[in-house]
Amino acid sequence: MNRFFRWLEAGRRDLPGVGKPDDVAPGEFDELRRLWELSSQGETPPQPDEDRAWNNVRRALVETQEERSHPVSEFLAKLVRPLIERPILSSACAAAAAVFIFLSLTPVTYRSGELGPLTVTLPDSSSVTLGAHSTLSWRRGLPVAARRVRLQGEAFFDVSHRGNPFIVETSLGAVQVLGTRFDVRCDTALYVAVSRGVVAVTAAAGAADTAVTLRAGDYLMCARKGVIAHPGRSVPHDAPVWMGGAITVAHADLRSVCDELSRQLGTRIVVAPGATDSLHVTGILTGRDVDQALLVLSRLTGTQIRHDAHGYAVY
Amino acid sequence: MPESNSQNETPLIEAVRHGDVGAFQTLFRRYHATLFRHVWYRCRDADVAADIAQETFVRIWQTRRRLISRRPLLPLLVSIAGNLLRDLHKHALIEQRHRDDVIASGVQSDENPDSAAETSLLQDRIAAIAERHMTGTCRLVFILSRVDGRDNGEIAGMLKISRKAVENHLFRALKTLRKCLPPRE
Repeated sequence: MNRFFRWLEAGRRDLPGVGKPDDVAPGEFDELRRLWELSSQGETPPQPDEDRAWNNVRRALVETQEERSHPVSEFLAKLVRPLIERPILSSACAAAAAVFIFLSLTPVTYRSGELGPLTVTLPDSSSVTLGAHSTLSWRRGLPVAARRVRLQGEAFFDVSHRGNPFIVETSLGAVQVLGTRFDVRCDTALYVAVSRGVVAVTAAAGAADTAVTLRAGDYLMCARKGVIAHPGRSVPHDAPVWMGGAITVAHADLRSVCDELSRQLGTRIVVAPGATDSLHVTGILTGRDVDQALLVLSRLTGTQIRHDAHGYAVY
Repeated sequence: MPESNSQNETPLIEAVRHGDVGAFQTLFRRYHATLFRHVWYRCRDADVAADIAQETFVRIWQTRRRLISRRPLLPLLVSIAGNLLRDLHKHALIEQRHRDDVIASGVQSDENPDSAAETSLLQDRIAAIAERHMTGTCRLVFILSRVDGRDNGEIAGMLKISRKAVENHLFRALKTLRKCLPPRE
């Protein structure tokens, strides 16, 4: 076919290098050439009066009203049109959307490690102080209907009041607040203590209507899924001991107290072999560091404290 | 011959979308004569062709916000003009000069096809075949080539297609003509 037109341009049948087209039957060739020449020999069209035509069109432009468009469809058309006209732009938008979706689904995680308290500020301005060896996770792009975080270990929450619930999820239960200060710990048991405001605690396997309400000064323990102990009263303190505040113990065995102090202060504190671990402790442990807390413990129990390369031993 | 580089019309179309009358006039000057000849070839009436060509540009202005600047304008003009022409045909406001009987009436093979009368009749038949039996783009390319006198490269630039595509359409048009017209013996 291309050779047919090359032949036409050459003007001769057997121009060297431009032979007869292969895709044209021998009997058809002359006929097609005849029609090609004949089709351009028709009646010459008249020359249009362009100035007059433009004046007519220009007058119609002034008289013509612009078509009405729905503001929503017009807005959408303005958004979509650049994507149609520029495929590269549409590809970039698709890539940006994929990144946004990925970031929205990817949780943000904080880990405190051994060095103890780590304070972070969430997007809603809530402040969370993580205890030692604790992890807090939250997802970007969540709907504003509820603010959800996932806690492993212990954290003290100072939740901003935004009108929508703030929910702390743990493996043993969930704590829901609106705006308050409270402590949550979850390892072998779930412990919640409220410094200010009101919280609702629901066991992991419990129904919503089984939630227990805690107010300032209240605390509770949830030893197993679905089992919430009765709320207890503690001396109201603004923050737990590991944040520089205090903790009240009532007839707790020495080993449990040492375990608790170890976890909150991020230091190994054990009852020395051979020492009596049946001793019980009652009192308030105060202090902002290990030495001060162990000094109080020593005074309450009459024990000695030894420090070595591995940590502290109570005997 | 008016400028036919369709790549230059993209900024013009974009300006028209935003209400630039000057850019619209430039496009008008560029394509009005071609559109007029195209419509005239299909209806063989100068007054009708003038009205349809003008109305086509008015329609373009009315819907300018829907224009896509990277697409060539001429096929859109021809499409709108074709719709207007079909509306006129439906209302029988113009005399149909390309009826099937025009196509069916044959030139006697033993008559001299070089006579002016027979040539004119053959021209009418070719125009009727183009109107009835060629597809939109094929007919547009055929008219631009045989009526408007543009070369294949120029047509390719106007319609933003390859030169080979232009030649494909022209070859298909010639095949259609040969199929509908009796061969000369």
